[in-house]
Amino acid sequence: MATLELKNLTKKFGDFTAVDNMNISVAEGEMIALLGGSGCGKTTTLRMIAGFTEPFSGSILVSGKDVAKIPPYKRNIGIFFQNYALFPHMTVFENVAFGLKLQKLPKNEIKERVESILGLVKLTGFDKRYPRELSGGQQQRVALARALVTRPSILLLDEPLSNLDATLRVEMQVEIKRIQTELGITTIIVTHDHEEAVSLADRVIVMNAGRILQIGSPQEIFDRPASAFVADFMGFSTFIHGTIGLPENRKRPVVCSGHTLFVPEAAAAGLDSGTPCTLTIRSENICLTDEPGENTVSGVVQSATYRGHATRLEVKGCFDEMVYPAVSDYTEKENGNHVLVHFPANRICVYKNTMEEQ
Amino acid sequence: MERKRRAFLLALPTVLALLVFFLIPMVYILIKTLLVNGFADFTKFFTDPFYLNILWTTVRVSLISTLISLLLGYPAAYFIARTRSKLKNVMMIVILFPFLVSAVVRSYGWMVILGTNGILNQFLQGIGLLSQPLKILNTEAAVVIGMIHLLIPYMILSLVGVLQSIDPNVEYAAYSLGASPAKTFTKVVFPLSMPGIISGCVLVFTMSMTSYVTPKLLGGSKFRMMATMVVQEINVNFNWGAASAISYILLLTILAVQVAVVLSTSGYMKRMGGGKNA
Ligand SMILES: Nc1ncnc2c1ncn2[C@@H]1O[C@H](COP(=O)(O)OP(=O)(O)OP(=O)(O)O)[C@@H](O)[C@H]1O
Ligand SMILES: [Mg+2]
Repeated sequence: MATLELKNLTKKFGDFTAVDNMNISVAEGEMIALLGGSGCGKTTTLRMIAGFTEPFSGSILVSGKDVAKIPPYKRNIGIFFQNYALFPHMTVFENVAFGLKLQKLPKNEIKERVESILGLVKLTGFDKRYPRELSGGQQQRVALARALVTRPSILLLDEPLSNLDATLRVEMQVEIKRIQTELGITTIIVTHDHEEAVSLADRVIVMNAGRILQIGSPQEIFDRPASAFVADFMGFSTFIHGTIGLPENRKRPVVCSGHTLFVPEAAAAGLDSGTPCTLTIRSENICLTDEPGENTVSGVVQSATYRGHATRLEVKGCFDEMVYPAVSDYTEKENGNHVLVHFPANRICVYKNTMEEQ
Repeated sequence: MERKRRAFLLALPTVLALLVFFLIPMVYILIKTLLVNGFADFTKFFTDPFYLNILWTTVRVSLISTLISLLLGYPAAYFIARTRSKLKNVMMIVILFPFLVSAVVRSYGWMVILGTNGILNQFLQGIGLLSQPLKILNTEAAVVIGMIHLLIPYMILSLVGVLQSIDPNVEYAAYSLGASPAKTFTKVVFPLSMPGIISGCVLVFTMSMTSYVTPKLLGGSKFRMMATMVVQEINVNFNWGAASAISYILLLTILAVQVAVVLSTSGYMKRMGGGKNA
């Protein structure tokens, strides 16, 4: 279908740089998740790709061709708007059929395709309603159907599932992924939900303040964030400050608040001995143990919150910072319980402290 | 219920004022006319081509003025509604500026421009486009020009309000689905702006139908519209009966048009949910 390439793409609003020198190359049929905090420039990036707003500088290439001169209605780029932007004067059917009618398809084919896509988004029977007669989540699915039904060569989805309940959300994720792979649509999906990003996308891009912080496979981003900032964004919550030492036995010791944690040599590549650094580890990877040993520190449970599949603990006293293990079989009711916390070395990520952290 | 009653109390002064100063005099005039002359004045109006012609002129001038105001006002309104320029407020003030000058003064201004030796004729002759001066002043064209100038701000204000309430993303959505700007306009923007078009047109049409100063000053002595005819019947012919019949026919014509517009668009307006939200 199409490849998509952004080269040094920059957008300014007055003095403010909303998108700063973006470079991405999306392969044919690839699905990219764009992640980042509110106001980091995700929507602005999509709007430039769709042709609604001109870049300040840089270029957008679709299948190798610069699209700067191509108006939005000739780009064949489907877009799902964050605020849905349904046509208020048209029924659900008319909304979804809009693009197909413009393609001058025969009436019965339009009807067939609209009905089938409305079935996929679980809105069969809603075709005669007007947008204002639908709930937020229903409107969202109409907008999704409208963007998918025309089978564009590139699809831009701006938080398409933010308003759905958990079950529906997973179902829609499956449908989006299925349609996207079946038709080989090159897709960028914006989401605030890192689990959604990881489960849907072939690659994930994490942005902050208009810049790309990391591009990588979901696995890489999920397990080995490129910086403490990305880790924080990807849902890491335990951050421990320390000072790294010289390698011993393919491991490197990090002294944190008097305790020594060992990290894999590879994880700390390029850090000189004596460098202040930050360690982070996913809550699910921290465990409680009965025996003292390497990377095991004792602490006191301050609180325990049951989270369905796991209990999230707040443990004080291991280091200056709190640590947050998520354990599946925690039964202790009382707080103030003494525990031994183990930090598996190969799960720890190490970052050199940046200026503001020091 | 409580809310409704309070709303009614708030509306009461206006309702009373309308009743005392408008409705009661209107009914009084009607009764008086009918008591003195029966339906004779009305019958005369509808059988005399002289009067019928005045009614037709009034409707024609009003329709043309309304249509041209819409055609000229729409692009301006769209631009104002969509511009991100800091000058947006300045533009709104410029649109409202003519309200500061009375219709009389503006009509005299047009006389200076449109007269036989007026600015326009001098200019057109100066650049060699015309050899004889064009007669514009004291024609229907002059009335239409003056009327549009007078009333187009109302049209633009109505349209800006509605166009601003249309989410720009809705237009972008149409583009992304392959609609050209022309298609986007006819399928999306135009239908969504219908409430503004209707209110703007009704407003301009009504004010044009009842206007007196503009036809009087720019149409010349032989040009007659309903309002000027009412005055003529009173001041020149001293025929109060005819004057009241004409004013009633004018009122009923406007009312009929308004009712027709409301009825023919009510289904659409209902579907749009009042035109805003959603
Ligand atoms: N038309 C505009 N004029 C001025 N600033 C703008 C404009 N549009 C966006 N911005 C600014 O650009 C930045 C990026 O906006 P954008 O809408 O791309 O954020 P986002 O990443 O989509 O955020 P969210 O997740 O909240 O939707 C924001 O700081 C925003 O205030
Ligand atoms: Mg956004």
